Amino acid sequence: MRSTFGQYIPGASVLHRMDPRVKIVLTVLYVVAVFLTGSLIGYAALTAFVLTAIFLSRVGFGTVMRALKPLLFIIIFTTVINLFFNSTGNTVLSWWIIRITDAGIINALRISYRLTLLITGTALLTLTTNTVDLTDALERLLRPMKLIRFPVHELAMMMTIALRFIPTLMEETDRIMKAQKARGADFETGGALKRAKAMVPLLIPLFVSAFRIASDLALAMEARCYHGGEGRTRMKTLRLGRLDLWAGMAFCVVAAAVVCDQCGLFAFADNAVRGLIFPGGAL
Amino acid sequence: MSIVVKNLTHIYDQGGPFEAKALDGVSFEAHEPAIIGLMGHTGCGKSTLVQHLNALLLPTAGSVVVCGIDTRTDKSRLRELRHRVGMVFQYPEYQLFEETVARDIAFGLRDSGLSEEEKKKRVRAAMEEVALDYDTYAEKSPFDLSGGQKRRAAIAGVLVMEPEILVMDEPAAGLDPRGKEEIDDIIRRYHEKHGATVLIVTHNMDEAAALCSRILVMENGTIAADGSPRQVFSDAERVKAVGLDVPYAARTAAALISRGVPVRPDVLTVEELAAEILRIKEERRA
Ligand SMILES: Nc1ncnc2c1ncn2[C@@H]1O[C@H](COP(=O)(O)OP(=O)(O)OP(=O)(O)O)[C@@H](O)[C@H]1O
Ligand SMILES: [Mg+2]
Repeated sequence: MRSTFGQYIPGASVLHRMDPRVKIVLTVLYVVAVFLTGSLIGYAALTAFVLTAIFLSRVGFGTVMRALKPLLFIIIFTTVINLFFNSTGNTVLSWWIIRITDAGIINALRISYRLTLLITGTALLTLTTNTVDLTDALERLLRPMKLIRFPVHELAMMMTIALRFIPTLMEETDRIMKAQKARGADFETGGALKRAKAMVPLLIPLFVSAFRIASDLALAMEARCYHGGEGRTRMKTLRLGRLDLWAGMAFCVVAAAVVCDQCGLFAFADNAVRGLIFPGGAL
Repeated sequence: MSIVVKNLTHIYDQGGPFEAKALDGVSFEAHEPAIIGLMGHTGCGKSTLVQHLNALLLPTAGSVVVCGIDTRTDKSRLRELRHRVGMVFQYPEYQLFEETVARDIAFGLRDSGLSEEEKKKRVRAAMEEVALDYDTYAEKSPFDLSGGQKRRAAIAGVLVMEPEILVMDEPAAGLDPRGKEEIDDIIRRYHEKHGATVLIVTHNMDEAAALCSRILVMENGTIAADGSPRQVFSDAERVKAVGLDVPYAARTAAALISRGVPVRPDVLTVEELAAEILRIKEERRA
């Protein structure tokens, strides 16, 4: 099964209908919160937030989880590193040169959970927002940068086009690959050199296609009088709605929990839970 | 040389968010060399079906046995299969990549064990079959040819392997009437000369009626009709129900009949219709 990371799944859920600008801002704040928090209460609040969002998005729990697939290796890798190479804390298990400490376990769990929260949360943004809305929102959010002559519109347009043509080029790759396979091309076996050579019949037609598509697109844009961002109006103007207000408020609650927690307001609860997991632990 | 497709089902992206059942229990067999037309409304699964014939796609359920090779179980013979089943995709001109036309056409032969002499002979023959003059075009860059010439060069790149079964997915798409006729000539010539089975996906009723001896009609991933053009096109209502139409000559014949001209109702080609009209004219004069 393919990973769903970065994919858009059409729908009409409340998450799909939210203003993409709000979604981007909330995602950024969410990422900051995930990095800020280090305690169980904070994680619980963020988990509740992301689970509610997944539920509301109606894309399905499994779909969101599959976004983790390409990054699973990184998660496992960092978890293992943290588990084995942590020398502080009480030793829980010791064998040969490996020494696993309770602090190591906590750290490993924390890192892997943090990454999981991070990926599911950001995947949700792309799963529920199509690329046009995404770059459109980005353009709006970055508009103040125009003051320092940063080409916001041009950048957003380039991003829209690039994202729009990823699937097209993937399809094209698939098509050409099949056509060459039908002529006996072999992309899968052999050493590195042989494989690199085998790519030639794929890459040349792909480049030719990419340039053809690009020049067609440029022509089509010019024929429709595209002349850059100056004085350009939009078909779809973004407007904040009640949904966005609700989402913002929900996040404020979560953020408040994280911040209070960071200031040590919930320290007693945190310690109580830790005490349950590691009686007599040094943390 | 035989094709046996049994209960073939294909589901794209199974279990994923874009799951789509493209084929649903397709069965058909072909044993004798013939030109077979595969028709059906856009998105009915024609391209999906033909890609199973040389194992570019594998069945989700059911089986495909071509030239005695089961595409699901005989993994070690897939290379052989791909040489025995030639596949010309839609817009094949976009697969050209070599520096010269001759080298591009010879791409399919590079692991064939043939001598350079032998290969050159085959390339020359393939170019002849698609009516590209060897001496003029062999050393040209494929990117310098016209659209129609590129198409023919790409077809030659498949014919050069001398496949027993030739599959063409809308080979005439986007060509002018003359270009279309040339493609039909290539198909007829190849079928006769090599005794090959040609499976051709087409949206053109007139082409199918004139070229094919058998027509498979698909609808929503299933086979809706299978028979000679005369059988398939005899039921105009049904043909229209699956999003196709009867050939131009058959429509004209129906219109003539409704105006009281007693032409045969089952004419398929313009030639047959002309003969009918002449026959009636003779009869009336007599
Ligand atoms: N790579 C793919 N992934 C998912 N679905 C696909 C894919 N390719 C085709 N489909 C779906 O499978 C169905 C059959 O497609 P197919 O390309 O076989 O149709 P077709 O009969 O060749 O149509 P056309 O006449 O337009 O070429 C369509 O509904 C299409 O949306
Ligand atoms: Mg098709």
